[in-house]
Amino acid sequence: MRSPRALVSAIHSKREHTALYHSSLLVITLGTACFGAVLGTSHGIRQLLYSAVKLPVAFLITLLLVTPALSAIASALRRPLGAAQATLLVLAAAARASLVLLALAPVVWLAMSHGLEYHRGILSAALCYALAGLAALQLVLRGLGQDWRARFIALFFAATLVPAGAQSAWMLRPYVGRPSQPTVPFLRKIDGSFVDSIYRSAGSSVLYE
Amino acid sequence: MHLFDLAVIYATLGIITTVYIRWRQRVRGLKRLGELITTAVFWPFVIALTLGAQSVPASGAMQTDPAEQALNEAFAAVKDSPLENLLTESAVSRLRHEIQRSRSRLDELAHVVQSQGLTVERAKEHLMDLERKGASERSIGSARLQLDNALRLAEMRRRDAQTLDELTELLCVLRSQLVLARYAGAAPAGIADVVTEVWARVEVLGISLEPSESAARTANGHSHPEGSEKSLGERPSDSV
Repeated sequence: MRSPRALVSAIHSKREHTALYHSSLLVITLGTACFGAVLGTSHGIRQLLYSAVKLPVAFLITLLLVTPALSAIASALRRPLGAAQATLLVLAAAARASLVLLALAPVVWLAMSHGLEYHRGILSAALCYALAGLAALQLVLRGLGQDWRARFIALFFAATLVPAGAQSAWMLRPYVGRPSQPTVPFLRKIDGSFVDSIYRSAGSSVLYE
Repeated sequence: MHLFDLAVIYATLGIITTVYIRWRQRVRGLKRLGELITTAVFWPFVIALTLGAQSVPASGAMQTDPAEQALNEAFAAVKDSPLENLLTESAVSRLRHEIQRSRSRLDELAHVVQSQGLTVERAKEHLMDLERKGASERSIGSARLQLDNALRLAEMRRRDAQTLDELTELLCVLRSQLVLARYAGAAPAGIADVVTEVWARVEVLGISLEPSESAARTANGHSHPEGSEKSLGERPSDSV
């Protein structure tokens, strides 16, 4: 995990695949659980526990959904990438993203403990996901190559990953918990989509200023 | 269809996959419980890793390495027979490991050459382009060096592929010899030479894979990889 170059080399040379698979799953689970717990801190211990469970689940559901897409997109664009390599590349990239989330967790925690407003909390979480996604994308690009074809594959893959991830996370919300809501539900009723939510949060954030 | 229905279908497929994978790996009961749970939950990943490792990306068709296939068939020919010690399980797993390593190295080299544009054609084009433009001697020198590196990489790939092909052919011969031995009841003449040749090719592959390790081994006076000497000495003539 410390060396992207060695990671990509191991993926392509079919070395240590089992170890890489298990360590990636572990890092993803721990990293996202910690970040989820931090998001839930503003709304009590129950929300903290719920978020610590739900965020890894949302992350892993997304990976299960989109992983075959990378292999398919790469094949369609004539870049040979086996199913095993694609799976490990996605898992390793997701593990990297989880490490970025873990690194950002103290910053978000500090902001939340200083009374970061609910909608801004959601926006800061979205910003953290974007940063983590960029770190993951960098590893995917390294694994696919340095040419334009690889960039197109990464772009199409990101176009699959972002909506799938956003919707998976949306279905398992809340992670932060509305301040006006006295009880803490495990899942909230699905209304609208992730894009609507971002739009509403951005609007509310501006209104509160 | 509701989320619950999807979850039930997912769980059912997970159970089927887990049973199949464990049957394939010959694991019984609740051994390795953690692995069992991980397989049932993340079965799409496990399928991709176990079955996808053998797939050919270009065509998408499933295929086993011909050398490995010949080795498996040779082992199947002697398994549970008086000739089993001609090709022991440990020798087979070592051979399989070496084949997989060299195949991985070939794949890795192909990927590096492809993704970093280190092909001979590209390096030649670049050099010709520079010469046509009348670039400085230093630039042309660098381009020549790049072409030289690309040629060396291509040669390395060709040599590894050739050794692997030779090993595959030898394993095919060994397989037919062992099948013959099984049904004839005795090892045919020349089987010892074939086995010696097989290990010699494995040795060549080992030298290409780990030049520094091989150099150290040679310096220490060990001419064969660990375990190969034993298999060579024992299997062909002593056992039958």
